[in-house]
Amino acid sequence: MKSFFFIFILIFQVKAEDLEFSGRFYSDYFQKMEGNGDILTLLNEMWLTSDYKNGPYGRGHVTLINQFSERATDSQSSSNQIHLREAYWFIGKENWSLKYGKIIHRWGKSEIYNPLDLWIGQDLSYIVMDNERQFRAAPTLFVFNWTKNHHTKRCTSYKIYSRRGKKIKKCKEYKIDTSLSPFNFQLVGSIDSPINNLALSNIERDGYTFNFQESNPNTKTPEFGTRLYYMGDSFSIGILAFKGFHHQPYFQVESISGKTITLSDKIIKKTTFGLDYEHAFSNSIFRFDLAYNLSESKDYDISQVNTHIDAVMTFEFKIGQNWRFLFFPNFKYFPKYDKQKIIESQSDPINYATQETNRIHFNETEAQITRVASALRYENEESDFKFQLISLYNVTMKDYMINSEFSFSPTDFVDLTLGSVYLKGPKGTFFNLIQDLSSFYIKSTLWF
Amino acid sequence: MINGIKIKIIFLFFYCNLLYGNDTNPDLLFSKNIRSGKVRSLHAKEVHLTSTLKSGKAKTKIYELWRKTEINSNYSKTLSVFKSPKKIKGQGVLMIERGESSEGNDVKMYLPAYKKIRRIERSMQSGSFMGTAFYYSDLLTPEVKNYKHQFIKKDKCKIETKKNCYIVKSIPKNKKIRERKGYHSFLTWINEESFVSDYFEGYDQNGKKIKTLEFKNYEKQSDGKWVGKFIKAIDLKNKRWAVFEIKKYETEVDINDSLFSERTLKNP
Repeated sequence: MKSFFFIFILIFQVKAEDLEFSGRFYSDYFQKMEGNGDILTLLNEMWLTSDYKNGPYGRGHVTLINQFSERATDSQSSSNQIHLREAYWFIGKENWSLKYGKIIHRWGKSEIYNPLDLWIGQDLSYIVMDNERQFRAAPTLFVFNWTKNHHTKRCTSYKIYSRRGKKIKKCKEYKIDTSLSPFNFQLVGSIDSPINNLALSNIERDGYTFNFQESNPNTKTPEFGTRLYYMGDSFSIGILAFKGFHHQPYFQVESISGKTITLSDKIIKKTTFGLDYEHAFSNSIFRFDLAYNLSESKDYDISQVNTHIDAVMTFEFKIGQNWRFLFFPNFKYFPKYDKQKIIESQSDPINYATQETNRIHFNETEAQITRVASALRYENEESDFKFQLISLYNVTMKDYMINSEFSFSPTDFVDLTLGSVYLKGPKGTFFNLIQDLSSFYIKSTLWF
Repeated sequence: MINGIKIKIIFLFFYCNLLYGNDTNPDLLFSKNIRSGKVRSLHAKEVHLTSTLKSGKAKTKIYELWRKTEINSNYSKTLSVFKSPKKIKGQGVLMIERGESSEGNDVKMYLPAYKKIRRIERSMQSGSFMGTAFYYSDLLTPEVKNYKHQFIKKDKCKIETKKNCYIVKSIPKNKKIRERKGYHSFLTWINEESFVSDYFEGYDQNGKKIKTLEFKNYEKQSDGKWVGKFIKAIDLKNKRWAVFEIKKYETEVDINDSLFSERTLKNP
């Protein structure tokens, strides 16, 4: 209902002749690596987009998605659903702008994993879905942005001496083309983020069957956030504060009946202070994202959502003209992490199962977690071919994921991709839990 | 006696300089060349960027461009937002010229698929612009002081052959500038009358010609500045070409500085 309300607001404000329509069609086919080569997933998506443009500060945008999927985990399931990906209105003038609607808004600099992506949920129901397709928008009342270009003085010492022999320091009025941009948000509380039930729902693990009950959790409480941002010559820095919710829901074990565990999704409060930094060097780029998450677990007894620090560094190197290598160390530290508490909670099976499920699922299995990710990319816009190799290794838990992709663009509007994803790890780790999803895949995208 | 000769030589030097000096002063020529094309503001509603791929096919990208030149300087800010092909729709490039800044020009790219803004490393500014034969640096204004300029000769223009051109050789003063520009030296054919660029040749460290740029279809604006509507880049190393062509444009438009920010880059 909310979705249609947003569309109505947008349509109401535009003239038909100013609208532009486009779309795309995705078709993904995943086949299991092991076993008898069963089809794992068949996923088709049709995106329909309408854009409205009125000068540099007038924009309207709507994207609707029709998603049809067939999944063959342990039990065959298919679904056909329509959802509103994004619908927003952007207005502004010179130094200010306002954006409202259902918006995908990202904070932070790092790819693959970013602890400062606080406003977006992600659909992790499908393994190796494109980053872009995973994002889920947040219904946003407004995003206010204020931009200011300002002057500053830069002093340079010249080897010029005055008649009295004093060194003259010359200052130049220098315009730093920067934006000092506080963003203020207010969010109407509803989290659009399908839970990552891929690994747990309707499947059997160690003799237990996990049943997942979708509960469409609503927060009914607004979220707030602000980010102060400075863009310098070759660096940019942002500090931010956020009070809201984890946009990736946690699991709540509802009941344990014999060997059947029933789960639902649970939204947890979150307060975060963050810092992001980016510096461009001659041949490389450094990025740093740091989130300091305060304890908000009063209403939900899982120790891993206690106060913790989550930091990602990115070192991006250019190799030749067309290759890029990215290296991402990620550190998580839970100062109040109490493993004993989890063990002791065995007397309360539901609490214990909840904690264990989330612990493994969110890779929060120790007081300190170190993960490293890397990406090697061949990106050459003049070529019809693309390649990327991504790996993610949890140094603490020793589980890993390797994903390779090879893409070919026969025309301007078609992409074909062949790829594989391999998941492995010791028992009790996340990638071990989902290692049966190791697969080969073919993806195709058509733009129209 | 010696003092008298010295004075005569100095007088002769200044006299010659008055007669010919300004004409062939390479720094002045280069500066005039830069200023000739610096309209205060430009909004190109449709720019076509056509290029050949390795496969031999030609592809056209269409984009919208806003450019503003700062008052009292020649530095510009340029925002380009791609409209076609659909695959790259919404992709934006923000180029901010910083002139004398040690860090050089700033280039940022918005990738709608990631909804993130990416900086381009300094060395990538001498890399291909959107996969074409143009370097980013070909589309940015060089800072006069960053190069050692040398007047070569006055000759017929290469493109507008009915006109005469000054040929100026420019050599980057240090490694950083060379890295950003992508050429170890370059020659610019500067139109004698309008001071606009007519032709350009870029050379590598071995003195081998690696790139040529052909400038055509200039239109004079009310403020006396020129808008070049056509540039053809020929990459001699990879044997491919690209054409930058402004189809629709307007000048003297009111563009606020804040347009050249992440805010508008993110909302193409």
